[in-house]
Amino acid sequence: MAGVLTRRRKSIDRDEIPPDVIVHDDFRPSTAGWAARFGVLGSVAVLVLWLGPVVLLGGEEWFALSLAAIYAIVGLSLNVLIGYVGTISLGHQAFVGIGAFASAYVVTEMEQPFLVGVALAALIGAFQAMLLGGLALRVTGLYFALITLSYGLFAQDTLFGIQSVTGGGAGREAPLPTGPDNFAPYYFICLAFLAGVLFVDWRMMQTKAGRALLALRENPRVAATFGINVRAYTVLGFGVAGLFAGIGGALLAHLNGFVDSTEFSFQLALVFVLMTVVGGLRNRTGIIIGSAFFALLDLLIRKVPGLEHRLADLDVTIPVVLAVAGLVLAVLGGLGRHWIRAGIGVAIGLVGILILSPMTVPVIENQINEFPILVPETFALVVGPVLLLVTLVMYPGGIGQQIRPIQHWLSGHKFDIHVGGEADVQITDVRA
Amino acid sequence: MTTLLETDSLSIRFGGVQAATDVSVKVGEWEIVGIIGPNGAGKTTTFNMITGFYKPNTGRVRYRGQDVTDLPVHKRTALGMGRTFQNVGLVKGATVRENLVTAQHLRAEYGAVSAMLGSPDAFETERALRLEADEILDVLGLGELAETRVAGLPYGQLKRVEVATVLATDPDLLLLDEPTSGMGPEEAHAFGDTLIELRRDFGLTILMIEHHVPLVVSVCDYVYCLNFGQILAEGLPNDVRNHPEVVRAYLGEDPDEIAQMEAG
Repeated sequence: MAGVLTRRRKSIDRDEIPPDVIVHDDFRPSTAGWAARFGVLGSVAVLVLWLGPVVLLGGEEWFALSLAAIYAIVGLSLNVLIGYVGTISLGHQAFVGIGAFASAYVVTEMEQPFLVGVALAALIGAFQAMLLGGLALRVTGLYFALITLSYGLFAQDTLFGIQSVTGGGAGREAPLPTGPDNFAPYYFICLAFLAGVLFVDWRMMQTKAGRALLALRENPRVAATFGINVRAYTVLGFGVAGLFAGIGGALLAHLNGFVDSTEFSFQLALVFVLMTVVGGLRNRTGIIIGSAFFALLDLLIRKVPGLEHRLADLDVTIPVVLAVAGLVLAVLGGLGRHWIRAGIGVAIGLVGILILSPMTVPVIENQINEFPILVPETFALVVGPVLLLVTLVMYPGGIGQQIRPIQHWLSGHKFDIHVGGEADVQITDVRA
Repeated sequence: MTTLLETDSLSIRFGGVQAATDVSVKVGEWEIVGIIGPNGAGKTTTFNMITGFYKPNTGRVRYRGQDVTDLPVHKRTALGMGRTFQNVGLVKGATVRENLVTAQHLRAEYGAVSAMLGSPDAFETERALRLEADEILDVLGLGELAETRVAGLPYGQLKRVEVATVLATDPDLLLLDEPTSGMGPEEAHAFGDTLIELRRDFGLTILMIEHHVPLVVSVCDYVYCLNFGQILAEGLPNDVRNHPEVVRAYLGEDPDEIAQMEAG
């Protein structure tokens, strides 16, 4: 319709556009290239479905692995709030807890099947989140964070203490649907739910709801001029987050076989936020890795010989944290080709490992501390903040930013180590 | 000629500041109307009342004869009002094409929730929307930038991308807030040609706030001059430019200076 116009405009613009900002990507992988990419994806699938749980862990760690899948669901739920809607939730243990109690109640009191319990938990989770979302339209930033914090504490102390629904201090049973202590099939049930959550998240971000959320997170005024109903989509975002959290809570309840209010402390909310931010906002794979890491910390501690007992000793915890933080920094620095950071990481890690080595700390086999200072959850809260600092200061995109080059390659592009370099996530992303 | 947009004595007060008083503008279909005035004259405030960001204390906004004063911003977009912002209204983290597709929000006619659950409608619509976005970009000569992140673009380009994005909302009335800021005189002049072509090709009506007076004179059919929240003068571009009140508002009270300007 406007041939002349098109030609003329182009001749004007060509001088203005700096050539380096124009993205040209005509690359198509060869057949071998595609084979390599599918090979990598297939290996990951084999690792998650069989090699890891059955061969490496000897089929004994289904409980921990199920927990990892559940944490991933919770991480994706929190990502919807922090990453897409752009509000922080410090009360996510309440989101998860409501799902857990709802499903336990539906299954034990109403004697409904497990799937009905999960479905109702998801709906109730979505509903309570939407109520909170309505509030987020009026209160934003730090004050909203404060509200979520108090909501979480209120839920833990008051809501979860309602005798008739939650069983009060005695808690409520939530039987494992696959039979007592039969965790192996439950792991695959959790994976199936994780796949469902991933699918919904993926479709959301590929369609108008996801774009609306990203636009209103950055600038609600601009979003409104695009014809986006800012209120409706904010509430929708909360609803989706609540839905995911409800599913995660229900799965968690039935994994533990039991729910009581003490499980849903603020510490848990903190771990959720840490794993999501460290995992990398708006990067599903990163969040799954981050969440699984925090869920499997306990397993890691048990699997490293002697570590479990030593962890009770603060003298040992500090070098462990140094070693882990150093290692992470070294790997991240190396991937991002920040050699100075990598060097600092190696140095910190070496200091940790040196202090930790059997030469300096003799292993006392029978030492069992009567008063353990650090239990695994607390350990997560020691490693977590260190990782959070590294993330916020150096790599705002977290693990997600580090794996961007690999994802980029897998999706059929040329391998480019610098893809994650322009940070997709800014520290200022959360308006708090 | 039918009237597309009409405001009826809009007034708004922020605390002790009367930001706009009795602003009545009228924009006919297919017209290009300019709003000029010194800084702080209430031009953007008027825009914000027209598009729904501010609710006027008194006065009404009518669009195609319909009273839209109480409608929220997104509903006005649905009626065909599109606007740009003084400081670039784009999603900076997204690419140019993603911005256009985001702006096509109202034309994605599938349900947001059913799309999340994998409705096949969404796949097809999305493909169509992307093609349409690329078409708009090509018309504005921005096709090469489709994959580029907005955050990396120079300012002049951003302004152009912003216009493309607003076009993606499928407007009948385009409200442009200082579209040529950050452009040199030549670029601004070329932009004037673009506006006239856009009016022709997309059947647009344009209301724009503009500081670049030669551009206003060359493209506008009618001009309003605001000062201290009130309409100081209105009429044909050349009449308004030479209106003594307007000259005084821009240049101050010094008669010698004005005489000098008129001589020069």
